[in-house]
Amino acid sequence: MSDGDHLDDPGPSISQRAEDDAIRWASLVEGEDFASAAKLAVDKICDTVREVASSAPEQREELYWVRVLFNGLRDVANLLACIHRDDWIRTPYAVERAWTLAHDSKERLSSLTLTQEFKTFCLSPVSGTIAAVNERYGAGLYTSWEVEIGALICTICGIDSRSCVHIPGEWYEGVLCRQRVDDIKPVAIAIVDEPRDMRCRAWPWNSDAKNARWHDMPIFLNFDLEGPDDGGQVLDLTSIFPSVRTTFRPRNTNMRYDVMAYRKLSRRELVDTVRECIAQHKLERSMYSRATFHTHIGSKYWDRRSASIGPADDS
Amino acid sequence: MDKLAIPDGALDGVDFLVLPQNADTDPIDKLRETSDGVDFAKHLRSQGKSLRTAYDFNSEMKVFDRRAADVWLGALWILNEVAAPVLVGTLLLWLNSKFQGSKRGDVHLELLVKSGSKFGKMKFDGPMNCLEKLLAGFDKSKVSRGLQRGSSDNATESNQ
Repeated sequence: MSDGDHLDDPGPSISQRAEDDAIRWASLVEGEDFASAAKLAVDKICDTVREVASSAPEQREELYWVRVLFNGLRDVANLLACIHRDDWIRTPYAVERAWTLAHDSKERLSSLTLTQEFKTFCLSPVSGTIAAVNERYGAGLYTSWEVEIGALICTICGIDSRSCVHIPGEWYEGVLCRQRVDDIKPVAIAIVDEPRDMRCRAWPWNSDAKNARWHDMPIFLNFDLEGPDDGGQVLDLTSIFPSVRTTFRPRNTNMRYDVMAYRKLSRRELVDTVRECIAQHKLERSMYSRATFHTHIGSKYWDRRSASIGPADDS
Repeated sequence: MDKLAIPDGALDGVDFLVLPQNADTDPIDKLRETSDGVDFAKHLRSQGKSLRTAYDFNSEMKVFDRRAADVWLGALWILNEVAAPVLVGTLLLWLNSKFQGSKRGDVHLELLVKSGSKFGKMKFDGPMNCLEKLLAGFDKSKVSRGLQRGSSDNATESNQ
């Protein structure tokens, strides 16, 4: 230590600390510990939110971008946790969540200046997810709304943004300029194939083909680069994949069927599901002695019984 | 344009107008600024360009926002012929940064250029690369001549 270094050393800079944490995040992701990687990002966002409260105005822009970065890294870790299972592409919740996470992380990480190597590391699962969804479900249809806005209020000076000098997205003494929409009136909703927000997508399980109707289609999603103050959440896989096991043993046989669903099934649902799976997969009893089936019963979307065979589970 | 009730002399020294589409034909209560037009006007102002928008003449003017990948700019009026290449250059740069290399989405705009006491009008609906090709007609020699004239005017002013 030189004579010039004393106890009042301010410690690593904001960007140095962010870089160290990003390296820790990357090593957790490489070790496929996605939950810990997401937790690290959530904790880092919470730390950054606290730091902003006591920071000087000139530090706030840098802290803002740190927050955006770790929101993007949390999204990537959650996305990787979601697509790590082979059956994600067949599971409606997982597909929807993966699609949203892919676009959230893409938007956040693309807004930052990162090294090419790190950007590729983060965004390759994102582009892979988007390609996989488009390959299986097509390029998709999206909602696009048309609204009439009475005023666009500038968050810096409080007057209509059309008559002030502040530029949305620019920083003014530690405050980010934004436009707050006032007096908003929806005019129409269009179905388009090239939306502004790719998250507003219609999914096949939200369609009622018989009556040519769609339901549960997002029209507008409130998305901020910097995410929520609580740092967001580590993805709960049990809310996405069927994870409640109900076992069925037919009388006078040695057979055992495990059915994975979003909730515990009644005996009637269980029997129907097993029967449907056996018929659907043309299973002969001689082929197996135990089997695990997956069904979407209990999910928000697929109340109709739609089962698929899963790997035999010896546990 | 009379429908906007622009006061006499309000356009003196103004190079551009960013107005709703059909501002020259539709009644004022049917006119809406586009959100992209508002953003572009703010961008022009931040670049120090001399312009007016519909909001400058009518603070009750509402904004129409369509959440699609397309960009709706409304009508861009060029009042000063010499400034045309500057507007076109700024517009193409702004659109390029908005699309960020993405091929999704079209551009919709009307371009009106004043020549003497008349206006020439062009309506465009199509992809960005087509717009670039069309506007390449504002050839470089004229652009540079326009810019030189602008800078020599400034130099003259500053010498006075």
